[in-house]
Amino acid sequence: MIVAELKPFSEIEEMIKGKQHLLLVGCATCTAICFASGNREVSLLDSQLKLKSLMKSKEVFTSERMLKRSCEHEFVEELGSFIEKSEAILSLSCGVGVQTIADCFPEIEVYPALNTLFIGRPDESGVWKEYCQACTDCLLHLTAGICPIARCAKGLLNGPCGGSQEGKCEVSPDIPCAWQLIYDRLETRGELHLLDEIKKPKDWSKKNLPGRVIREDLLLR
Amino acid sequence: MSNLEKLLRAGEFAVTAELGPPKSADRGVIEEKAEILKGFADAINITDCQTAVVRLSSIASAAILTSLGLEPIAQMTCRDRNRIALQSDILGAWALGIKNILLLTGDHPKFGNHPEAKGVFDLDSIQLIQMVKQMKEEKKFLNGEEMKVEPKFFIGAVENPFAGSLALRAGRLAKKVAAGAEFLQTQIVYNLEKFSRWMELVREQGLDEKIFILAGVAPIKSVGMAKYMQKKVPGMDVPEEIISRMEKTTDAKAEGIQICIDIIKALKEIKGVKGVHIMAIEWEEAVPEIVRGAGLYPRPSMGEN
Amino acid sequence: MKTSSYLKTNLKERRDPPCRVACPIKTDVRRYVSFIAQGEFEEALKTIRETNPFPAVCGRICARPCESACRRGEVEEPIAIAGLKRFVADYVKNSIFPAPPIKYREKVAVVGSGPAGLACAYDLRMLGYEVTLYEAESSLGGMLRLGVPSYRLPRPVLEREVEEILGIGIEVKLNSPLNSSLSLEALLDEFHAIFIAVGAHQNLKLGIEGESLKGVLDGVRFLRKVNLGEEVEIGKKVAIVGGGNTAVDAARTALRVGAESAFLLYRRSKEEMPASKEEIKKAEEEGVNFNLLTSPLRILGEKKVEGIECIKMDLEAPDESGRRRAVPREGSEFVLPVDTVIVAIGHALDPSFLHGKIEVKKGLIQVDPETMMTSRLGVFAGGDAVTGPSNVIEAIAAGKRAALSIHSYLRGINLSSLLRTEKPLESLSFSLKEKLKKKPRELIPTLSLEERLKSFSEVELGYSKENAVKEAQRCMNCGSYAEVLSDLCIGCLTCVRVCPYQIPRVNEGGIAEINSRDCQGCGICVAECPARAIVLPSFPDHGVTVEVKKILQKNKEREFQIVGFFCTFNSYASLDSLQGIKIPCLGKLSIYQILKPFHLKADAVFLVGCGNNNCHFIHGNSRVFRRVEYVKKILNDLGVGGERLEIWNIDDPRGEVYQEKYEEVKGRLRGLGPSPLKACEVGMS
Repeated sequence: MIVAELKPFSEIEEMIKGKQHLLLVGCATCTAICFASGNREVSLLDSQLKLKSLMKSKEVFTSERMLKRSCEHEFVEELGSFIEKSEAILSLSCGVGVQTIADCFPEIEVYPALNTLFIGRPDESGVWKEYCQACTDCLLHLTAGICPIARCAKGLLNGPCGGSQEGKCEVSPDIPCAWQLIYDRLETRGELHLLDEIKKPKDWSKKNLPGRVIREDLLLR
Repeated sequence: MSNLEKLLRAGEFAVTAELGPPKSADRGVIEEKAEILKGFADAINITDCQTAVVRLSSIASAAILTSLGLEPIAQMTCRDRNRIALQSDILGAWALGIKNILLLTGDHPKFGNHPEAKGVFDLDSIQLIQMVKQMKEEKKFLNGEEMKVEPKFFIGAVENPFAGSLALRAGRLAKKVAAGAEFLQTQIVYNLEKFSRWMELVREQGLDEKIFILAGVAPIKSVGMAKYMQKKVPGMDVPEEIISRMEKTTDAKAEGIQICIDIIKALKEIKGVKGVHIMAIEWEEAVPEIVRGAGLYPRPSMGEN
Repeated sequence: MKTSSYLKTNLKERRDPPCRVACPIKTDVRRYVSFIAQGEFEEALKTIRETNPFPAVCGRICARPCESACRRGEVEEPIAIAGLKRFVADYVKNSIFPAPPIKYREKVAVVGSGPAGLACAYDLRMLGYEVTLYEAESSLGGMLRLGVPSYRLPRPVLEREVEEILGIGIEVKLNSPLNSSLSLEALLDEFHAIFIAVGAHQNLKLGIEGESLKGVLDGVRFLRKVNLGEEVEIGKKVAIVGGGNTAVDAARTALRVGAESAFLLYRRSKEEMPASKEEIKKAEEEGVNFNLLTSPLRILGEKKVEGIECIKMDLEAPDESGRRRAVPREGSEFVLPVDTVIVAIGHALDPSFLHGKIEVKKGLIQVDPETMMTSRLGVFAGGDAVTGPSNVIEAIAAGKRAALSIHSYLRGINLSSLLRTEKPLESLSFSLKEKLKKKPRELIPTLSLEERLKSFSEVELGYSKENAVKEAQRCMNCGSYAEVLSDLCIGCLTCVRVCPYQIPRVNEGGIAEINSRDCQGCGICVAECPARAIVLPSFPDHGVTVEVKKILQKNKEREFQIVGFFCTFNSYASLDSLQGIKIPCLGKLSIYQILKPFHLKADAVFLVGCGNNNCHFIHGNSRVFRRVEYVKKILNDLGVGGERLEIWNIDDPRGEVYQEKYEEVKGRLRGLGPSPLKACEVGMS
């Protein structure tokens, strides 16, 4: 899932400066699951905005909406009737959602309330970690199902580097060395030979362009 | 062919030293350090923004050394350049007369003075070694395009015998050899016993016949430094015995140098060790004493080529 | 998107707690037990009295089907529901209600002032009918007075309760049996409906040789005499025949009026005895000998009883109905030398007073089981006269049901529309039982054995306030389970992860489901659900807001406005002086509920949870601790100041620490000053 977190409140405050009528739009997909954009966090941000407005003796009028998915215009268009009363939209969604809302309603300012962090998963309640960098060329079959691009701090293809210590990354003892994990899993599987071959430099050419996928069979035009 | 390569191929026990460029544009610093090291090392490593701290460029510093009549080993990491910049700098370094190059992954930007920097790591060290070998032997860029004049570097790599499992580290050395590394400088050796076991593994795989291994050594300045390295520096293995020697002495610097000399003498006895690499960063003055003390002075010369 | 709007339309049919379903009069047991747990004793009694005009009586002698159904019993022991009821009934004084207005012109007569008659009269009067109660004896109470020994139900307790019932305005005519001078016809002329609840006071006979000898007593009459304070002649060695409450009462009474030994003869085993288990246990303690699997053949003696010849019985394997037939064991006859035999094998109605005006079969008045109407239009009947000897709660239920039926008859309302249908919760699952903390039942103290036999003093002494609260806090609040609003659920697994009992699961459709059977209603998932898709109907979101507003309103003249949240389970201290709200486990409080008082311009908020490892549920207190830390950060970011919020987890059943912490917060506020939100002119809802 796409993992995001709420921006520092001061940053949000700066963005919405001068706006009194705000529409808070949550997204019920990935970022809701990671506690950044669900019903609860929208209400909480609303609550914070109101407390702040109380402190400044400057009233702020907010309304809240949840979208099934902020990244698809059909869902976003549901906001239509709520836009009129608002001076700006505060979107709680990943960057895709913010842009979709902005594309659907180009006449109104749309602010990102979240920072989009990574593609990852919750390892336990309250802990999310990065697991994929959408590198366009998956090699997990060669690395025991452990991604060195996302999980090695240097993204090495022929790791580990000299900084690997006791199975931990040189960057922090809290980060396991992805290459140690790969080595250990391959060893238990008896597949260490997969490491013998030197992996060629990665082809980043697709990643260097704005990504796109076109399925001719699905085109309607 | 570099002087270092010639010595090694001739079977001489090699000595290399290390020189850290300044955090400024001051060429004078390099000249001063070069003056100290001159005659005591066969080649001198120039670090490449070590620990991700911005310093005078390693290639530029190496070129300065060349102009002073010393032989440099330019270090090059994967951290700050993509494959385009790396190849460009490799060509440039050769054109400037640099003949030895040491290729490594590089410390993570997090440790340096610009932790906000994006780490590049477009290639890893093994891919970089392979690329330089391809440029040298096949006269081809990474993309397969041909070049007219190739850089014929003596290609070095590094390895840490003390990080992670021995088997994993020895396996990685094999990969570096396969990629094209010709000489190797190791992490600083204090734990001779562990190093010997690693060498055994290396010999078992016949790797000592395929790559010139230079064991890393470094003099300890104080008991505090010894303890710091023991506890705080990742990938460093300092046995208790060294700490206690440092604790007992009244002249720490002298004892530190003596320990280093003792280690070098022991390393010379280990089969497959072809030289030492003395890392005395910011204590370059210690190098002549160590080289003398270890009976490695004067250095042989293979003459101009 | 606001959860409250979903509540009305989207909630599924709720399951009811088994205690309430099992109760013949559907008392909201869970609610009053929960009031007791919070120290709200008056509220508890009010709740009981909504359905039951006999809290003190039922607190003592109820058959307690609720306790048999109680799911706490699946964990270790059921909640001592009757004991708790008795505690509040005794503890709270002044529960007399004002007489409700007479709403209808129709008048109703109730014949018989036992529990059925009194309950019926009470309910009809509460509904707004004028009611006249006819009693054949010179005092009210029926079997409660004549049958139940006073060591189980002290007379002042009964009298007070009867007085309270009459206090709502019921006319009473004592010494007024139905007979030739007061006929059914005459009553029908005056009243629009009649309820007959005359009970069953005629002892059944054994039908064996020697039953007319001197020294053979009739169980009902024996108890009646003792209960009315009349002299009884009784020997030293007494045999009591029968296995119901009358037999056990007679045996225990015999020991109190001079008998040296009592032998209870019953044809089946102890398990089959219809008497209450508690009473059997007490009878054993008091030294009653139980001659089980024993049946009397004849009573021996010349003029007076000299012994009783019995035969041992064997139980056959259970038949299809599950009943085990008892058969005599040949050659096992023996003689028990006794000088008194009390026959207590049952009692029935003496139908002679009805003069055949109403259909009676086998000593029971025949009624329509739905409406309780007899063969005579407008004449209803219930209680022992209809069912044969039963127990007090069944009699009350019959009276109450008759009242409703009479109401429906007089008003032309469909009776079934007045009745509540219920769906009980199923038994706890095995895996859940393993996870629940074991909490043994609080013992109800009893009089010492010595003291018991010397007099008719009440045997059970009842709970102290502390023990009652502790016992009530064992209640699992069955049926106050959380529910998923499936249109809001995003299937995120948060509930699955945070539930300390591992109840929720995400179904194949990707929607969370919470098993109503096992959910303990701790509310952790409700507070943590990122979609706000889980509700706890017993703890609605707006409920906290309402309470906070009340507190702030009430204390607006004080130096500071402080809102305290206290764990209900930690103590039952009064919060009046503390600006506090009780929460049944602080783990229910969501982040925005904690923030809410600040919106309402409170100067500070503090929480006192129970001690670590002491949560009524599982780690609710540590969950809220983390939330408080998060809210502190928010308050700091906003410039309100995180130090205006504090939480302590302290195990202090006396609640003394509350005052201390309140003062600490006040002291802190003296340094901080009032909330920065106070200066603002913008009002907030």
